[in-house]
This record gives sequence, C-alpha cells and structure tokens, in this order.
Amino acid sequence: MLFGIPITGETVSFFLLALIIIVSGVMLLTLDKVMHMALALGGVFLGVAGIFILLGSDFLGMVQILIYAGAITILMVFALMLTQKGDDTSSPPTSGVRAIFTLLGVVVFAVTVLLVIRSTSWPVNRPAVEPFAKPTVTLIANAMFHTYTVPFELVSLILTAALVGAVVIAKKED
Amino acid sequence: MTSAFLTFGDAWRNLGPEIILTVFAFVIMIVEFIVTGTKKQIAPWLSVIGIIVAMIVTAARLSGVPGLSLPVNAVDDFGTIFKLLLLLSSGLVILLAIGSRKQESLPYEYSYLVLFATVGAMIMASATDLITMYVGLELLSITTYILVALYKKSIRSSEGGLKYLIIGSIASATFLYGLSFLYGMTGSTQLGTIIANVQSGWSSYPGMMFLSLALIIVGLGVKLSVAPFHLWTADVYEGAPTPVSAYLAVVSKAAAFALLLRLLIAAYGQGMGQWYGIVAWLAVITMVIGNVGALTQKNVKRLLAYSSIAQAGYLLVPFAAIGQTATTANISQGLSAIVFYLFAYALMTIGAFAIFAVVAGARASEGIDAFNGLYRRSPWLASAMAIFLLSLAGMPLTAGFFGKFLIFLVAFNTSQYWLGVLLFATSVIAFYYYFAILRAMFMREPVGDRDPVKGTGVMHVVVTLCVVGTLVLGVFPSSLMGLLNGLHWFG
Repeated sequence: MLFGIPITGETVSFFLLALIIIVSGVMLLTLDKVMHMALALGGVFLGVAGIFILLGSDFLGMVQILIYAGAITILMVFALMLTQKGDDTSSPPTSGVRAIFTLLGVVVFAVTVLLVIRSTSWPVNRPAVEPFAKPTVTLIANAMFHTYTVPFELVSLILTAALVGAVVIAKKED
Repeated sequence: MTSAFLTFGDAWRNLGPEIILTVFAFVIMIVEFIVTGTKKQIAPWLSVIGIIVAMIVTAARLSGVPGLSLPVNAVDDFGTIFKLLLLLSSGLVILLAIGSRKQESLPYEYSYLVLFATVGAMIMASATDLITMYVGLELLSITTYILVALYKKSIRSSEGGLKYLIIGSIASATFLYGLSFLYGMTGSTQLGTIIANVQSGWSSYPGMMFLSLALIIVGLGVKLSVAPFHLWTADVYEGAPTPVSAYLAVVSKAAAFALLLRLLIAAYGQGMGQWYGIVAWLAVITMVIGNVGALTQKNVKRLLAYSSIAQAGYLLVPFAAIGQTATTANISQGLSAIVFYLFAYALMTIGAFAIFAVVAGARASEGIDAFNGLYRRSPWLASAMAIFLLSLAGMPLTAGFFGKFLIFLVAFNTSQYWLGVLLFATSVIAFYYYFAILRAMFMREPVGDRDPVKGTGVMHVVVTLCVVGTLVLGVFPSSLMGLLNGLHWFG
C-alpha cells in the first residue's frame, strides 16, 4: 500500500503509462523544433493506447497505436518535412506577468479537480473486471452502427467540411 | 443490446431538414466544381433554395406533421422552433453574402460550408445524447473556423481564423471534459437515462456535478462569447468577412444557447436552485463588460461585436431568473422570452451587419466616420440602420424593446428584481454608443462627395426583410408570442 493505493501489476503499469503520457505532453509543449514536438505527440498516443488496453479495450488500444501513433504521427512528420524550410525553431516571447497568471490558473484548476476527486466517496465494492471478457470489436460495431448511427454519419460531414476547408484555405487565389 | 438498424424512413422522420440541407450541400459542392466562371453564381442561390425547403419541412412539424424521436436526437417543439430560427438566420446570411459580393468576394465554397455549419447548429438544437451534442458542436465549430479565414485577400481574416481555431478548440475540449464527468456519474450518454440517474449524482457526487457543470458552462460560454470568455469576439468578428461575422453573432450563438438550455435544464435541472447564481453572475458580468467595452470602440464591426456580447448577457437573464423557482410554467415563460429575443436579435443584428457591409464597402472604411452624413447620401439606408440600432438598444415599437420587456417580466415574476434593474441600467449605456452612430448618420455632414451609397438589390431585400421583421415583432409581438405560448417545449 502506497498513499492508500494497493501495489498491483495494474496500478504499477497505470502509473508508468501515466508518467509516459505526462512526460511526452510536457515535452510536446516545451520542445523547440516542430519535428520533435510531433514525435513527443507520438509518445502521448502510445501511452493512451496502453491505458485503453489496461481498461480492457484491446481493440481500441491497437487501433490507437495503428492510426494515431502510426499513421497520424507519420503523416504529421511528412507534412512538416514537405513544408518546413530552413530553421523551424521558434521561441515565443514570454512575459513574466502572463507566466504568473498561467501558473495561477493551472494551480487553481488542478487543486480544484484534486480536491473534488479526493472528497468524492467512490464506490469500491466493484467485482474484479475480467480482462477481455467480451469481444470489444462487436461492442464497438454495435455502438457505432446501432446506437450512434446518427453521430457516426455526422462525423463524416465534419471530415468533408474539414477537408474542403483545408483545400479552400490552402489553394492559391485564381 | 442489439437494436434494429436505423431505417431511412426513421431517419427522415427524425432528421428530415438536416438530410435536405446535407443533400443540397453535396449537390452544390458538385455543381460548384463542374461549372466555371460567372455560372458559379448559382451556387449560393441553390443553398438559399435548400434552406427554404428545409424551413418548410421544419415548419410542418409545428403544424402537426409527426416526427420521430430517436434516443440520440429528439423531435420536440424546443428543437423545432430553434431550427426555424437557425434556418431563417442562415438564409439571411447567405443573401447578405450574395449581396456583398462586390465588396468582399468570398470563394463560392462558402455556399455549402454554411449549409454544413447549419446542419451542425440544428443538431445542437435537438440532440439528446452527449455524443450527438458534441459532434453537432464540432461540425458547427470546425466549419466556422474555415468560414472566418475564407476571405484570403485580408490578412486579418486569416489571423481571426487562427485565433478562433485555437480558442474554439480549447473551448470544445473543456466542454468535452465536462461531458466526460457527467457520463462518469450517470453511466449514460443519453439524456433520458441521465435524467433518471442524476438524482443519485447530486446526492453522492455533488462536487463532481459542480465540476462538470462548471466545465460545460466555460466551454459553451466561449462559444456564446459570455464574459469573461469573450476576449476573442471582437478580433474574430473584425477579421471575419462581414456575412460570417453575422453568422457567428446569430447562428453560432443561438445554437450554443439551445444546447446549453437543453443540457442544463435536463441534466442539471434538479440542482438548479444551487447553481443558478453562477449563471446570474455571468449574465451580470457579461452585460456590464459588453456595454462598457463597446463605449470605446471606433470600428463599427468591433462595436457590433461588443454589443453582441452584451446581448448574450441579456439572454442569460431569464435563464438565471428561472433558476430559483424552476416550475414548468416558469421554465416555459423563460424559454419563450429567450426565443423571442433571439428572433428579434437575429433580425436586427443581420440587418445592422448588412448595412455595415454596404457602407464600409462604399466608403472603404470600417470606422464610425464612414457613416458620416449617411442620411444625406441614402436616407433609406440611414433610416433602416436607425431602426436596427434603436431596436438593439431597446426603443419601444421595435422588436428589441418587446424582447427586453419579456425578459424583464421573467425576472420580475421570479422576484429577481436586481437582474431586471441591471438589464435596464446597462441598456442605458448601450443607448450612448448606438447614438454615436446615429449622430454620425443624421447630424454630421458627409465628408468629401455627396454621392449616394448604393447597395445591390439583394442587399436591399435583406435590409427590407430585417426592417419589416423588426417592426412587426415590435408592433404586433403577439404574432410570435401566440406561437411560442402554444408550444410544448420538451414534448
């Protein structure tokens, strides 16, 4: 028991994954080169995939690795390699007042969330979750094509609009 | 839990107007792609036709054509009346874009992007599932980011688009974070199940309920440009093409209001007595900051942006007022007041933006001095602008006055006198800055030549429609109130 949390394989892997996500996230924000940021983003995606698998969503975890950590990160890296010219380092101007207010906001928000979580009495007598008891692919398919057909179709509209918009904004004036 | 596949018949009875708009959007996309040169001018007219058809189908639901509520998306009078408002405003905005083509020639892609955005806005008005709500919000948001950056000749349009993208994405993420807590406490994304389970949420996890409520209000507050989340508003409205500014001010705001009202009344209604104070203070801060911020603006577009912030504050007042005594009668009175004011707000805001587009285009200036001596140049445009501004300020015989009066009545009915008094006190400030434009139009001499300011024919149609609507709602408010009083809001 450490801080009231039992030390099991599950909690150890959770904290390791959380550490990977947080470290990658902080690196994403603080690194100078855009290319390095894209790679740090890949670390965040991998960590999140681990969390999914830990929660029993094996399929979602694999898809997360394939699409996010694999395809999207690589796509981003390619886009950067094709468009970046010369030195891509940028150091945004930092102002002291702004940093103080940002810190204040972050601390207040973090303390609020932490206090709320600590003061909530969570139900603890849950039966142990059987890992990978149900085929998660079937569950996802049911959710997507039965329960959430309407939002699923709407997402295709979002993709169309985003794609068209990207082309319209990027193409040259004729 | 396998349910049957969604048939097209069911989808049509649930999402008829949205399907029409989507089909029109894709057809226009293809048409716009095939035809060349001046023939492309047909594209925005096609989207006006699509919106009119969708309006007819939507209006039919109010007169008894049955719809079908799905678990993810309801057909009820609340959604239907908001959809009518959204469609009417989107139609006027497209006409405004057609009319201002000479000054700001947007790429024709806007004609179907606006339809996509309107589908998102309509989904927000009727969604009864957290996922559908979020998808609708994202459809509207992502499309409007593009629309803001569409005027590529202006660097400020791109800047506004980027600003809106960054702030809007953070807002969406905050909203989603709040929804995730709500899902965690009630175990469902569907509003029906959430309502059944939320009682235990308030008693077991009150802190979590407040946290999720706060995150949802912050996320949607950015979209509504409620103070203190309003800082993007003036910059984005100024940079965006004028029709898009009008779209953001009216459609985007009305849709976010619909979503906020349905979500808070349904999911958080049981604890309303505990949290209505948050909304009341937001309303107060917004009214004060919006009206005081407008005082120092020299650019008319920024002035209208600040005035739209203030209007969002007025719209929050009935919502805050029903909080203490949330009976069904009070809620429907509050909703009637909000919807009436939104109709009035849509007409007067789009009208004001239309005249601004004509004048700013002709005088090549966005400042208040562009309006100098407008009455000598074009008496009709000056008089119409005067009607819109007086209505925005709340002058009797205009729609804006009656809308504010209704909001005032709600506040008095629920004994929230201080909110009503603040509403009128801040309106007095509003008169001051609207009069700056009125003084420029009527008292000042025109600078330089005295040529009349000419707008296109379509522009005059938009202005006339808005003037007629503003006056009819102001002189015969019962025409809309009768309809609103007969509605069964949530079915």
